[in-house]
Amino acid sequence: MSTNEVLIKTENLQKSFGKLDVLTGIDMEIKKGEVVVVIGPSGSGKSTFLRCLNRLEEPTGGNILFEGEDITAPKCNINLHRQKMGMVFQQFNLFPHLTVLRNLTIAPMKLLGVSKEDAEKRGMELLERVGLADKALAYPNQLSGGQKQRVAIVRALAMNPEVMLFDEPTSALDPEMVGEVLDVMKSLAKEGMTMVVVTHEMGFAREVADRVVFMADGVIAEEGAPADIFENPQNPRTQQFLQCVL
Amino acid sequence: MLKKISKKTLIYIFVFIAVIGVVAGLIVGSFADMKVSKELSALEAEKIVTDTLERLPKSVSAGANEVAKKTSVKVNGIKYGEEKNIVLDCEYTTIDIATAINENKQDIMNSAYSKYVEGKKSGTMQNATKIRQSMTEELLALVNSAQQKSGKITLTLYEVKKGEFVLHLSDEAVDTCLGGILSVGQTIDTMNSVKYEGKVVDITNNNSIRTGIKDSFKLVNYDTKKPEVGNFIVKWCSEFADDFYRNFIEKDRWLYLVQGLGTTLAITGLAGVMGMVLGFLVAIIRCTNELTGKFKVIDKVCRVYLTLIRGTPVMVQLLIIYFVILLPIGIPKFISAVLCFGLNSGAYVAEIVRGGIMSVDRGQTEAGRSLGFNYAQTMVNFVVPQAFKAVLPALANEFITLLKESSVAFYIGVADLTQGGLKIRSLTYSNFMPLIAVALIYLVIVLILTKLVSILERRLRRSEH
Repeated sequence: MSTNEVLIKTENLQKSFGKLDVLTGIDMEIKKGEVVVVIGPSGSGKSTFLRCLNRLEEPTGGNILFEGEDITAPKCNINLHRQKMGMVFQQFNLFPHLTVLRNLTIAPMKLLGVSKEDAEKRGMELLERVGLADKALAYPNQLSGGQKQRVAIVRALAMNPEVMLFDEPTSALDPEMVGEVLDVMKSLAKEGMTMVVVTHEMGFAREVADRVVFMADGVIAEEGAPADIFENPQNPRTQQFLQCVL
Repeated sequence: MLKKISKKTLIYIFVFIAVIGVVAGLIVGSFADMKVSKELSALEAEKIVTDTLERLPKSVSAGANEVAKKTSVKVNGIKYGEEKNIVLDCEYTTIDIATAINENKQDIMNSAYSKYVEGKKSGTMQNATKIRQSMTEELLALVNSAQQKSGKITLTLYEVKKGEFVLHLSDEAVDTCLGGILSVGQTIDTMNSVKYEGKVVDITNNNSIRTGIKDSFKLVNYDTKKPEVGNFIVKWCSEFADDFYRNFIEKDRWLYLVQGLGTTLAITGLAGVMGMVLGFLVAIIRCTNELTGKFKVIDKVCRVYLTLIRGTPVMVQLLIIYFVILLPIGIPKFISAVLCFGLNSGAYVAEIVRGGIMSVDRGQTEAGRSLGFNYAQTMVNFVVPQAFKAVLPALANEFITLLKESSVAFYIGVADLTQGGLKIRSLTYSNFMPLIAVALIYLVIVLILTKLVSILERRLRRSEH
């Protein structure tokens, strides 16, 4: 699905919390339409890497180019770029005081100036697409975990982002709900959405990913097509990790 | 279902009903049992009446004593009332002292004046006592020559204790039985001139002559109020009703409380709004500083404000704000009070709201920011509404505290509810009624506010489930 146009590029991206170096120089290119799945042991820095991409964590070194613009530059208005980078969290982070529909419409209405009717029309389309149209007027706490995560995904989609960042989207879910969320993500991938997914779902990675990135100790230890990584890992760390999880 | 009500509960219910029954029975019984405990013979009644009338004159009031001696009351009929009272149909015989004095007032005054002048000439100090003493014989003679007078009157005895009867000394009873003695003083007071050696002398400014003569007919203070009867419950009830009337109804004194309540509510409302605005501002500034490191200087200012307000008593703050800061520049008391309580409340609201903001999950901020909202938008749209909901009970408590604390406003002379109570207290010299009334009003307002908040809270919570 991927084209040759580079959407996000990181150059020697570093992040440290005090004395703890979490990312020690990551260079990566993510092309438009590409689905990149980041795997790795816990503590390897994969979540931090993802959160650095939209500067929820401030990188302590290196650059991030988004659509060719350096979003780590001091003058850059990160808020405008974030509008094009949807993010899905492990803990859903829906707004509990707003209805499901309002969760979807508030950002387009307040940030993009979309009219209420248009935003709600688009919101309902998105909810229908993930099978939750009947929950439009419910509040997040009335939904199951899987339903919440599906709402969280369409909330990000409501902004028509260029890229979707998934931070372990299924880790907080009961096992029987993982499938419904992965199905939504798969259909997104099929439509050609650029996606960066941090996950432990190896099945998903194998099936959907264009490229699998294995991270360990703050660096990219190995990357490649899913078939190569899963069937024929080169790096001993990758071999060891895959032995444990598969 | 019935099994669920245990024996213990039943016993409690039974005891409760029994207690209520006993109390109600006592009250009703006390009011129902208002007959006198024993009957009196006409002679016994007569003795009580005569003794009481004879005790009325002061021991030195020779004139009044003589009148009392010449007075007799005969009881013709006895009726028993429903208020622990006995109504006596009486026939009195006395002397018409009022007329006697009125007819001879000029002579009496002339004579008193000449004795006054003679006494002065002989070098003895002349005062009311001397005049009274020197006039005794003359006045007694006058009393003895006074016309007899008789008539009928109804007198009432009340049983104040078991077997102890007291005559109700109404003005009418005293005046009628003692031949109009109460008017003697007024008659004498009109005498402003005397004749002495053929000349008219003005004695307007010479009080001792009038006082000396009035003293001869003076009665010991008597209580025109109806004697209190019944057991302590009845007495307490009637005293309560009296007190209530005196403190609230008489001269529309309840208006002090109503107007005071208005002022208290106005101060609390305005200060509450100011406190909320100020508190939220300070809280947001402090949280922003904590999370992003911006506003360092303003944060320091805020901290000083919080320390000062929370570290000193509100009463002292009020005195300083009014007397030191605002009075010199001519700001009125009411506005000073609003400003003071607003500032005070703001500090507490700030800490409550800050706690609320910090308690909102970090994920909410991240979600807002990840969608492209800036920090301020995220705060306003997502964090503050949730924080508000979380701290609503605490804010309501703060508001209630503010309402109660506003009672110190009386200290700078704001006519609030407390001041209203104190005003009534100073007019009626009662403590119980005005202070309890003030307390009850505060309590009722607080209860209403508490109820409103719980309704609001339930409504807010419904949106999350």
